[in-house]
Amino acid sequence: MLDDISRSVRRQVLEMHRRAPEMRIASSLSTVEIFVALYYGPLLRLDTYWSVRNDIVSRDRLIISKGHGALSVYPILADLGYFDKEALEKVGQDGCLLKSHPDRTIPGIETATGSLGNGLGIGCGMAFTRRNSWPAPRVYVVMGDGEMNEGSVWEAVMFAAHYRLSNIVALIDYNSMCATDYCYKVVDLSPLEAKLHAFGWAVRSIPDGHNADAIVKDVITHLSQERPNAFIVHTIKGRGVKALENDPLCHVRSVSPAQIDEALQAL
Amino acid sequence: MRAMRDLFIDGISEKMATDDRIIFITADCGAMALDSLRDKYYDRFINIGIAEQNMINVAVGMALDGYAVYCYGLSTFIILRAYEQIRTQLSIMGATVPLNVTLMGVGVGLGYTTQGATHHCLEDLAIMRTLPGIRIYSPADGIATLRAFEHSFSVQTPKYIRLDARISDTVYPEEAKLDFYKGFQEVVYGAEICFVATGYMTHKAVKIARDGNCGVIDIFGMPVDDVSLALALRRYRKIVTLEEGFIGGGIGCLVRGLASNVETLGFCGHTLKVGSREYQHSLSGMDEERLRTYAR
Repeated sequence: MLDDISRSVRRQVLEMHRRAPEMRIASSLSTVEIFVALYYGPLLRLDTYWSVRNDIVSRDRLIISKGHGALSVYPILADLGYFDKEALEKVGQDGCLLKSHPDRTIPGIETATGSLGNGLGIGCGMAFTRRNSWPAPRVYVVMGDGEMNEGSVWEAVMFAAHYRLSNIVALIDYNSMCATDYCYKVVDLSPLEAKLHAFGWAVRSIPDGHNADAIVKDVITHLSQERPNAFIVHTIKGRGVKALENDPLCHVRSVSPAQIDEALQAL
Repeated sequence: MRAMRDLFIDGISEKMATDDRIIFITADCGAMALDSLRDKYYDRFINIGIAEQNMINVAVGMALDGYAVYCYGLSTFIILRAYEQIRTQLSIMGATVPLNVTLMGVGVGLGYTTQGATHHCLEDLAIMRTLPGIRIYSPADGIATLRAFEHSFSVQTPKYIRLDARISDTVYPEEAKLDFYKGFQEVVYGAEICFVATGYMTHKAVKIARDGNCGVIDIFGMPVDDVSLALALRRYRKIVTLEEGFIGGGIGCLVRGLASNVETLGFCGHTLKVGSREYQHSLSGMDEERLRTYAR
């Protein structure tokens, strides 16, 4: 079931790119199954509200810290009714709703991202104020591996561990590439699991990041109630488009209509 | 007399007694009044450590959930180090959702005298004025600080309060009412020449103007009401702006756009020599002796 949804989301991302080739897609093709797991698993319990204090209620939240990977969220938000499906067809046109990096002008989006390294800190702020409610509403933060070069990420990592914010769940889209090369050649992140563990987080690697069911199951089964949670989700940048996969420069590449057709055929 | 930051923090502490949406975050920066706030409201006080970028991000996360967050630290570090977060979260995102985040920066200008150039803040006005959607408060004394606090509490969008590090004399009488949307007051009514200043330099200007026949306009809120300020300046033959800041983008720049015959005094280079405020001013043509030549 989630596989079908993933295929449909990937298809719609490719069609959006066909309409607006300036909207880069490689980084969004690696996040498809992560977002499908979040919204359809569902890991995000968006209809449930907790009263935190007086007039403040809270619910699960999703912060798309790697804003450049958000294209795959748009078909999902349209499907769930946050905005009209017509918006997907209007990408690239003057005054259209959807942009390469999301912000709060788009219904369903929580923060303005695109500038990397900030989402985890924002998530920590949300998690901090609701940490004493039980069951604590969760804050999911989808991050990139290249994004973890940013120092502000590690400021947030330390903060979350210090306050034992077990209601934070970071999903790291570990597609091994940043914008201009493989991550390990630029600034080697590994061993990332050991690093996060040393920083006080509960960490787990999810080897197949393109199996949404496996992501859901792994996250639910291994959520720690004592420490902040990180899941290193192994993915392929540009997944589904032969021309993008395994190309360290795929971050900036556009895909031709013929290549889009080929990818759609293969789905 | 109490330091401006202690007055401001006392105001926040008083409000926290009845409003549990207020959260206070410090970037490892202390103050006398902070000790009692921390003891009373330990669950709403966070020392986030020397991590200014995280401070802004965390504050924004809380503000998105409806909290009113005060972020306190040295101006230099919270404004400059976390400027991108201020720009992206408070200015850009703040244009689409109300974010009740107040930046309290202490040590503007040369307040931290002998600490050296890294602890002097000569840029903040220029770069914060540039960002849409952030209200700036620049009180010159304790009374203005209290009025700034009261006003800021009613504003649900991002704010920056710039506070001097030193205890200052008074400029405003106790019953003074300040219009923060107008953003300025002619505190000394003069003829011919008018000094325009903010914060610490307002004190200097007032001291000199009272001995001569200069006027002094104190700017305490930005954005100012341009039209009102231009009208107020028109009466004078010459305007002299004074700032502990780079003249490229602060008060001088603001006034230049609203009047003719404006002389802008301030800093052109970094404060690499060590010394008192008066010494630093003398290196920049803002010492008392030089300024007195304007007050005939």
